[in-house]
Amino acid sequence: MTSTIQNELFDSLRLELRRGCLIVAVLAQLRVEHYGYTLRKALADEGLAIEESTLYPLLRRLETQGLLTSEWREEEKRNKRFYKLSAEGASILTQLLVEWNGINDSLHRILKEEKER
Amino acid sequence: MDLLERYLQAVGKYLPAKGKADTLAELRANLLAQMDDKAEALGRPLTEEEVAEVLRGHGYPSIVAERYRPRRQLIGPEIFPYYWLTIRRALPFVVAITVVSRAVELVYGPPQTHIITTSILRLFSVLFYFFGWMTLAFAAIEFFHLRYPQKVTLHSDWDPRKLAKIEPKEKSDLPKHPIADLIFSAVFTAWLLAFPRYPYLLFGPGAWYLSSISLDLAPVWHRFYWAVVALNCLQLIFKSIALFRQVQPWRKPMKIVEQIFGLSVLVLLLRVRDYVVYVNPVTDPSRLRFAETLNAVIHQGLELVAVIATIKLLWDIGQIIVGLRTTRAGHVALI
Repeated sequence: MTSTIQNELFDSLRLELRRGCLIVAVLAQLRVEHYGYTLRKALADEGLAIEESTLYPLLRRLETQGLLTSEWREEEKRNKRFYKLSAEGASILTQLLVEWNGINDSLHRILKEEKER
Repeated sequence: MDLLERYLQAVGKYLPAKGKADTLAELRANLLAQMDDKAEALGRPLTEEEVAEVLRGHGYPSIVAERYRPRRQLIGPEIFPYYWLTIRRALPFVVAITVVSRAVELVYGPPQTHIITTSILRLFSVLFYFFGWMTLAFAAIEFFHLRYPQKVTLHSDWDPRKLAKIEPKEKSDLPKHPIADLIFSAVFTAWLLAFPRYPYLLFGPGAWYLSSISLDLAPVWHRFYWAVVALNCLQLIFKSIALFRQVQPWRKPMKIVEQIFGLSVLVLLLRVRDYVVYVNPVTDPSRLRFAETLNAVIHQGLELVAVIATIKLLWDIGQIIVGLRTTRAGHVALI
């Protein structure tokens, strides 16, 4: 396998791996109210950079699904749309975190068994 | 900020009217905040190039707009395998039926011109409608499946105990591409049905020459013609069944029967010396010599084909005998 193909494959798998995690991260970060740009910055500051063209439509989709609520408000003389986790979103986030922790624990156990062999 | 407005206008062109203003207002606020941040870091207003860089980083307008749209696909991943399977299973039959019906039309219908071009166009037209209707039908299934998932369920109650039993692995003599095999057979049968009426399909441009000198196929050919057609139709049926059955115990004996039949026809043909005859009595010695030479060439050609066919038949019978011995030895070893 050439390095170009290997890189492409890695990028595609990385994208797949990140996709689900990003939703959990966005929901978790929106326990505190944010508008699109500050949310992106907050996630990037925590080491989870996400493209704006991916994040902004994702916020809309999560809102349509009832996991987020939003409101237009003026801040620094500009109208901005602020998003926050809804009650339903909070419940889903709890379930997703249980699932994510379960996957994480399993993965750690598998990797530990590999090391011990 | 002219660039930003132009960018938003370009994105807006691809957004649905519903919610468009809202989406663009949010996009504007986010992009302005990003530009403000950048300007604050630089300690000066952004240049046009820097604004362009922010917008370039945000993405190409149509692609950005597409991400705001709900996911659209005519046939989703759950239905697609059934769509593809149905297409693959039905396609050979559609081609075979079209080809054979076209041949029957050519044989029994009024004479036509440009038959090859019109036949190809007919096939394309049939395939176009076939794909179109299949896609529409499955798009409708997808539509109802998404809206009424409880009503349109796919194999939710399948039972593994009802699956077919394991079939023995005797695939060595099966055609590698059964669909292509069936299509080629259908085309061959169509050709077989069409050439008596359109001799140029057999002789090429030579057909016009033979016709111009009043030379035609001898009656001996007509004697075997329908038997050969019947055999081909039988093969078509068996090859259609082959698409659904992996194991075909009848295949080897069938091949031998076909070969014996073909060889018998060849032997009977070799006993005849006249393969082409003049339609009207001819007295011209040069024309008589021409027919004689042509018959001799055809006879030699048939002799060669008969020798090859005999060797092939003996070889195949030998293979079957060897195969039977190996299987029996295998059974003994297992016992």
